[in-house]
Amino acid sequence: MKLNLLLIIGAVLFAPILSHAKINIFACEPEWAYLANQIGGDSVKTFSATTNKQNPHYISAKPSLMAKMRRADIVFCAGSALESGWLPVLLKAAGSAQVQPGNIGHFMASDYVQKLEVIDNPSLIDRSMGDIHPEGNPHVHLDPKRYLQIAAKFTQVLANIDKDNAAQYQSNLASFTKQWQNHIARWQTAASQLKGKKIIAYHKNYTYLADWLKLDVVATLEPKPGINPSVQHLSNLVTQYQNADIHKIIYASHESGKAAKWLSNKINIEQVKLPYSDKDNMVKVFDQIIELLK
Amino acid sequence: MLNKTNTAICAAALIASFNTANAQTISDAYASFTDTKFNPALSVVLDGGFASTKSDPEDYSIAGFDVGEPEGRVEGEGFYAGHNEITASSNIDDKFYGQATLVIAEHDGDTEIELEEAYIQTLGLGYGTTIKAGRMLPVFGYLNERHLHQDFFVERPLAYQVFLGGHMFDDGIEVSTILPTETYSEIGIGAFRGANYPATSDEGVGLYKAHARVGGDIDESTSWRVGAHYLHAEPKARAAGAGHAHGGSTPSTLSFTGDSDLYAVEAKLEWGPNGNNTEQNLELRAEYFIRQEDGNYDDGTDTPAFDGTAQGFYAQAAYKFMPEWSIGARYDHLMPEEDIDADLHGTSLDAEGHEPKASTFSLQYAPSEFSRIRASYANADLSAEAPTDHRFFINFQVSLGAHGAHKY
Repeated sequence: MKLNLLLIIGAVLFAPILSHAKINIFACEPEWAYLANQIGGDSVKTFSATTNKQNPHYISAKPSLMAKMRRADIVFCAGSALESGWLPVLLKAAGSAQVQPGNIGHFMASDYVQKLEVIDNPSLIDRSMGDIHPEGNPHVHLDPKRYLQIAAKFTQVLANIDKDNAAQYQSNLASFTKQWQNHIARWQTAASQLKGKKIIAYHKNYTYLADWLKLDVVATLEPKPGINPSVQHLSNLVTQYQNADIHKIIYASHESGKAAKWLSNKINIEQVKLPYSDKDNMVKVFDQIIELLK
Repeated sequence: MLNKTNTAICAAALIASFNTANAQTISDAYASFTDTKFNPALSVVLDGGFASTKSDPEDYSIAGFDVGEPEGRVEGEGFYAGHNEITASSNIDDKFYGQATLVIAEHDGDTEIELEEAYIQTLGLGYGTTIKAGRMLPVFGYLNERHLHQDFFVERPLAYQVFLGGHMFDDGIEVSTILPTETYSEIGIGAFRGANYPATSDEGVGLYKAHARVGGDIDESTSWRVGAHYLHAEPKARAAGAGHAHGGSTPSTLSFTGDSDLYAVEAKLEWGPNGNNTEQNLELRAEYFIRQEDGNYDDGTDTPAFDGTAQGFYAQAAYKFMPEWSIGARYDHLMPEEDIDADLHGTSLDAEGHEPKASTFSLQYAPSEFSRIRASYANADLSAEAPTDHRFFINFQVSLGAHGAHKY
């Protein structure tokens, strides 16, 4: 009896040590936090460094992010230099060996899908062209097919790091894939009327959505990527597109609507703010994007 | 580097190229791959502008401090070329990162090249720890670890000019650790040769320092960080000010031998609507310094004792009100030691009851993160005898090439 009691007490006292510690995932953007949670479930603890109200290009490498990086087992970001303004500071000061570039815990989503707008001849680019990403457009999450590819790759990485729960992660991926493919079919049906429609976007971050839904993003409100919409550029857009059968002018939840509203008034085309990301529900994001685009 | 294998490949490709254009392209690409692929990231900072000051830059002095010619201020008059930097950096292997910075500036008509940084730093050592060794800008206060071009204002705060010679770089080792706490916390220590003010270069290890920082978020829009810093040096025959042998008009003949302890606290608050810094951003910052020095000054004839405390602080605000436009204001105030030995009366250490202060206002246009143009005015009341100085600057600063990520 005594031995049993001791064993029970021992198990209770030492259970926290013996039980599996959660894998800490540092996601740069909410879209990756959502995916990490879908695959990781209860075995992971996910943190999103940014919200959907923040522009991921221009984030401050602030103390709270340092503290989270300190404990990160996996860093899950878009890559292709989207986060080059802040992520390297965090990795250098606080990142473990595992999350350094080239190591197993450093997961850059855009590395695992076919990218668009890759610059073939890097010697042709310079900064007068704006904020160019020579490795390709990094805003890959708005194509749900690429998103699914990334989910599969991430599952491999997570299963490799946490082999004890590998089976659970594979199972989570399987159910996520099934549900996601149903959603994709539903979205494609709902968005079929959008094929070929002309769009003006604030920034070049809808490239992959356009690729999926066969939209035609004819211009951006930014004269060049990362350069603020100027009066001159907007006036040129008026001249060029006032009779061009533009379907909608769109901008993301972290972007200013001023330029979109100005242009909308001038060429009498509807402007709309689209949701961009959500760490709790990416299905809703795509639902709303398609609904608002129609 | 051309070795046998490369030569053989190139030769073979060259022969093949007579047959197909494609083969030559591939081998050319291969050759340039091996030559340039692992080049360090190169960054050049150009800094220059137009200066108009009421006072003569040769006569620059700050009452109560044997300041010499500190860095971090504009030394030219009219059109000037300021502190230009060339920085090369790269991961060296999977264990180390390296960086070197040359500063090219004109002092008294001579172009000087200064090695500001040449250090290696560990990568992914673990436990939130980084070891940095070599020539570096040690962490002290908010500004010392940053290059001169990384501040909102054209000139460094008076406190940095008098306590750290404008900015202090040194040869040594610095270890810092980010602790695994929920709220960000960091501690660090360092040991250095003591190459620059406030130390002297005689000793093998002449400067020690320690720092601690904590920081976090107040809400989604607001972040903060505070830090405490300590520096100890034991200078021997420390010449005036920044330790640059510039000559100048009448160099101070004072030299200090003794103990020097510098304490600083820094605080910063950063705000952006919903944490989005693209359209609007506000930074509030303040630092307070206390320096205790205990030793003797040598003026060539006597060695008067000095056991005193000097204090200084600055507070500033920088507000980006449109994506490309910012304004800023800074107040500087120094309190030198007033109780000095009779032999030191009339020297630069004698403030005659005056507390140096300055107010600076600046307007900045920055079309991208790589370029900015600023117009600023500072009202500087630096000494009892000299009239209030009016310092106008128009300054540009641009960054060519690789542009490293910015610290908080």
